[in-house]
Amino acid sequence: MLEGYVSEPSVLPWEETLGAVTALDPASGLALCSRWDDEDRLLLKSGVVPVVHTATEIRYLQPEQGLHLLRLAGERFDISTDALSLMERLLVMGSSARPRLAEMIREVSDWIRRDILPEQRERAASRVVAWADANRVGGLSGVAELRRISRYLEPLSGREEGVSSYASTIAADPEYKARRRKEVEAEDKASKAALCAAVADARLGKFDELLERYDVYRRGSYRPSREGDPDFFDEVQKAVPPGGRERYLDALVDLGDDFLTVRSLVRGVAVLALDRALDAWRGSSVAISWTTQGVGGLLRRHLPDIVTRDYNARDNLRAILSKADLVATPTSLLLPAVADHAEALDTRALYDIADVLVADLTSAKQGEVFDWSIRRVEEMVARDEGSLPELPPKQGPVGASTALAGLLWAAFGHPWKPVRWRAAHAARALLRLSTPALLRALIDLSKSKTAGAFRAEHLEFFWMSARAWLLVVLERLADERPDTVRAEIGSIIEHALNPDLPHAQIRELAKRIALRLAERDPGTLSEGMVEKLRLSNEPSECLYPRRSSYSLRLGNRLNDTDEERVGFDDMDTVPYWFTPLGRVFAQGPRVVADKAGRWIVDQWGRTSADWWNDPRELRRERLAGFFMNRQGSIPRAESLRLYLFYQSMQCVAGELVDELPMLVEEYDDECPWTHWLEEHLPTSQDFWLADLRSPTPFRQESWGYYPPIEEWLRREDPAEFEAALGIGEPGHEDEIVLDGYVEDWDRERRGTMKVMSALVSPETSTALLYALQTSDPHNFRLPYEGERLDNGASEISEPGFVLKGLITEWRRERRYLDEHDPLTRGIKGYLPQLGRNFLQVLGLSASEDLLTYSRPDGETVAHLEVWSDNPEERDYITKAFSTGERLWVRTEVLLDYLRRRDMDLVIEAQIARNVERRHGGENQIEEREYDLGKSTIYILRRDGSLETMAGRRALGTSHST
Amino acid sequence: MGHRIVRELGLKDSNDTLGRWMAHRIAQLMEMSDEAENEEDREKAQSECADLILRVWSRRSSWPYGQPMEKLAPIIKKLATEPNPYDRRAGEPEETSWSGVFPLLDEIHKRERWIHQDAALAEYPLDESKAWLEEHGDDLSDEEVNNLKYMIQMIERTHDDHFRLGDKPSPNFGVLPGEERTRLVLEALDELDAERRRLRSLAVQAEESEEADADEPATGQQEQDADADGTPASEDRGA
Repeated sequence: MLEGYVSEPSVLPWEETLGAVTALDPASGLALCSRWDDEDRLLLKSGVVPVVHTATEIRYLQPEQGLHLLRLAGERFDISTDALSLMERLLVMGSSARPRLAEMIREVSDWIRRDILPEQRERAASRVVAWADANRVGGLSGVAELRRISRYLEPLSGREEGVSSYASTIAADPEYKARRRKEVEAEDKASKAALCAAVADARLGKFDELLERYDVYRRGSYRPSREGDPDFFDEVQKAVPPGGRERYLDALVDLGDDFLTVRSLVRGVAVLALDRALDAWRGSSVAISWTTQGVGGLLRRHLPDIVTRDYNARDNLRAILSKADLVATPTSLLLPAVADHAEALDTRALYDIADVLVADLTSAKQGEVFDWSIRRVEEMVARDEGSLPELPPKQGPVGASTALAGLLWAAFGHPWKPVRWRAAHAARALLRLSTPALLRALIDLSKSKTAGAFRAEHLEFFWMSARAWLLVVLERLADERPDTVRAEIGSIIEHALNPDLPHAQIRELAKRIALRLAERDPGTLSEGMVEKLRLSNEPSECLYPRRSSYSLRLGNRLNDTDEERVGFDDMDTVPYWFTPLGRVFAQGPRVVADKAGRWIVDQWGRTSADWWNDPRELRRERLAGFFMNRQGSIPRAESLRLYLFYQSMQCVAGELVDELPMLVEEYDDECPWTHWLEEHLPTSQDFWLADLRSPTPFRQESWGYYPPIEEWLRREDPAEFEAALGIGEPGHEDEIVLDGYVEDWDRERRGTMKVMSALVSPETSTALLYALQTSDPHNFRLPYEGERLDNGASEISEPGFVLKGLITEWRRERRYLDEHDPLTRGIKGYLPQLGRNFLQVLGLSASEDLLTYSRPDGETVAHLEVWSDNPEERDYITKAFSTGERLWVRTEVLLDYLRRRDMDLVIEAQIARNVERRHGGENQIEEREYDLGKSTIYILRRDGSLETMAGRRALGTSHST
Repeated sequence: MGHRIVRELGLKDSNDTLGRWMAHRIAQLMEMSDEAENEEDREKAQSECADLILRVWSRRSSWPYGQPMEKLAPIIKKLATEPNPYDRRAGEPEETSWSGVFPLLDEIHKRERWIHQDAALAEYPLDESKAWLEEHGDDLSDEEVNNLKYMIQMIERTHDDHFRLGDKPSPNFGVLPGEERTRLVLEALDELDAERRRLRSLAVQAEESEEADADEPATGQQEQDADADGTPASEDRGA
């Protein structure tokens, strides 16, 4: 209500208000934080934090529920502080809650190690470890992993300045360096002289050149202050004789007329020096006589310089106005100055001044002011014929499950896909807590087309998106907790077979869930229903004979635009969305557009007038790039227009698949319908791409610790190449990397590391080592299992010369629904896997999520590590991060395999390092040739020895032999 | 060594991993052979090396590229093939190139050799030679007797009415006075020199002609461009 009646909406205490509302009525708090997001008042990621804090404090939500809900707070949110208060709540429940606490610590540990920003991790880990140790739960498993972060980083962060990426380490041009050194020496000399002169003047009570001397002393604004340098005003103040004190104080407030100089001096110097001097001379006759008049004078002359656009304005004002020797009230000093400068004070400055003034009032007076303020606003609202907010009709206490379901449902229908995905991760974790009431509430909402109090009343709720994302979550849950979902299978089947909404994506997701449940427990559904589901959302026949869509002349544009009715754009939507869908059924885009138009206009009652005035899109003009389906891409954010276009396309897809035969073109080697549909579904039926991510490994580069850049660029140390194989990496003592690709980034570096390996015939392996080591690394590539390409990446099988792949690649070329999940951190669907032969020979089995390989007894002998700290939504790189995937195998297992195959292993470790061009200023660094990479070739023998061109030695021993 | 073999096989910039691998294996086997401590090991390494060299050479024809000798092959063939003695060369080369004129130069050289040989033999007194053989023949071995008989036949040849010095009829050359013989020999050699110069100039002309072709505008468009600049196309090409 107040929003329209304050000059500066940002001063409204949104988060505190949410906390207060939650305390009064937690369900309303949850609804409000979601609705305020939709109304563009406070983002959900900010609002959810105080709501969770309060809702768990008053025990409306369980601590675990609170933790999972904080996924909505986004990727920049450091969970550690809030997690402590949640863990505290479990701790005080006593020993009965200990298993819950252990589980929560493990989850928090994973969250910190994997999902918060890399630069926050060390502090977050230390915070949780300290809490756990103080509460004698430091032995729990999650804590141990966090402790390792501190142990690993401690020796690194103790290094000398210049090794971390956060300090500039580019070697300067020698000439520039010499010139700069001379300049610095001259500045240092002048600086010392200025201080000496100022102190000498002070002893004589002379301050005419005080500020000029200070200016020389600090050598302009660019010079960062150095630890150990004396403080100019401290030194001068100490030299002032009693008789010169008044003149010194006058000099501090007599700052001249230059606007910028004055502002800089007031903030950086005068207030602080004055504060210190008045403290030091407190009670003296000079302080008593000068303070009131001097401070008043300072405020009258320089109030705008003190308060305007300064985050420390309140503190500075309070410091000046709290001097012991002041004989006037802050109000009497401040108000005349405000009156003098009213025109020059901005809104924020006035709020700062009001905040200081209010402290000068008694509690009763403060209450009067508050009442006056409220009354005044109400009068203004009445005058404007506005309405005061109506409280929602009281429905009695709303249960936490219902409120949580409302919040999640609203977030599933959020215009921003990342928010939908955050809600999906939160919901998945919440539903794993065995909360059937929450599932029940969500299932009920899945049939709804609104989000009630959880979204803005006057804005379109994207209910079809919400339904799809809920089903995305349930698909995972049907796999992980089938018993939980089974009770709701009836509602899920309704979505799969819904004749009123033939939404292909929704139907497919629901179908998969139902079939997965039936697969887990064959008694769940009748055979007839299983068959019906299998045949649903599938084409019933194909056109015969095969033919090319080209020969059908389907086109990719609408020849006559339909601007009035719908206005599908001929740039992206028609050629890249509608045309490919139509082609699956041998139809042109006109057929799709006509059907889509019927859904939008006739069924949903929307016209172009609705979306061209979409408030969400209009207020996000700066972010227009996210609201685009350029060349068929699936947008990161949906405007009303794209929402309707996309959902209508899904409905048309369902209609077409029900009505028409499918066109299988001559060159098609997969089902065109499946191919079209999979882009609108998660990458895999067995996991979300984000599930593959592991915590950041203990590689120095991944934590932003690099050698100086010149040394780093040289990459001459053999140990650097061995590090690519994982040799010597903490936590991987008995493992080796068989295949991997790593990228290291920081604001001045771009590095990549690649590892590939293959089996090689032992008698000629040394010759291969020499052959590859002396070749340009871009003229060969070790083959994958069964690979046969013309570009030199092929298996070789000649007498005496055998080179066989032992790795394969899991590859997903296209984009999938996970693309906008912020927790995927941009990882791609190209991942190395152990080849079939490796598994067969050793009797290993791979997990469905591709991450682990186990023996029949369950012992894990190999694993895939995938990590990414790529912040994705960034304009440029300011902090170090890395991404990578590495396939680790236990060395003894690998050697066993080699012995059984009677083969050796050839490994290529390739490193490429480059400087970020933006940092290549002419005085800083010469132009460098782009580094395509340099390789070291290794032969790992069956006896465990490792051979390079430098010699042969046991694996794990120094490379220098 | 392996690197050098790779380079010489033209594999340096190729993606033929197997070719490079074999080359380095050859180098390794050569080294093993050199450093073998006993004959058995040496022979084994040599044998494997020889076998591998043959495999490398047999693979060469199937390599997709990286055969720098490919263009040289016909030249080498011309240079290295023993000429057929019955294949009398015509006066004009089959191909006007350095390698094309070579068989004819070879022929000239052969004739020159014969001229020198016949000039030397003609100086030798035939009767004295015959008498000496008759007198001492019994003391010589069969091989020595046969050689001397052959020499006498060759000298007799120069006395014949149909004798040809080089390729030029020179009846009774061997019995002519010394000055006359010298004159004929020099004339014959001068003719060969002239022929040799002619062949050289043919090869040079062919090479220059190739270079000129390469410098000429490649397309009609370029001719038109030249015209558009105001420069006559023919003049431009001539330049």
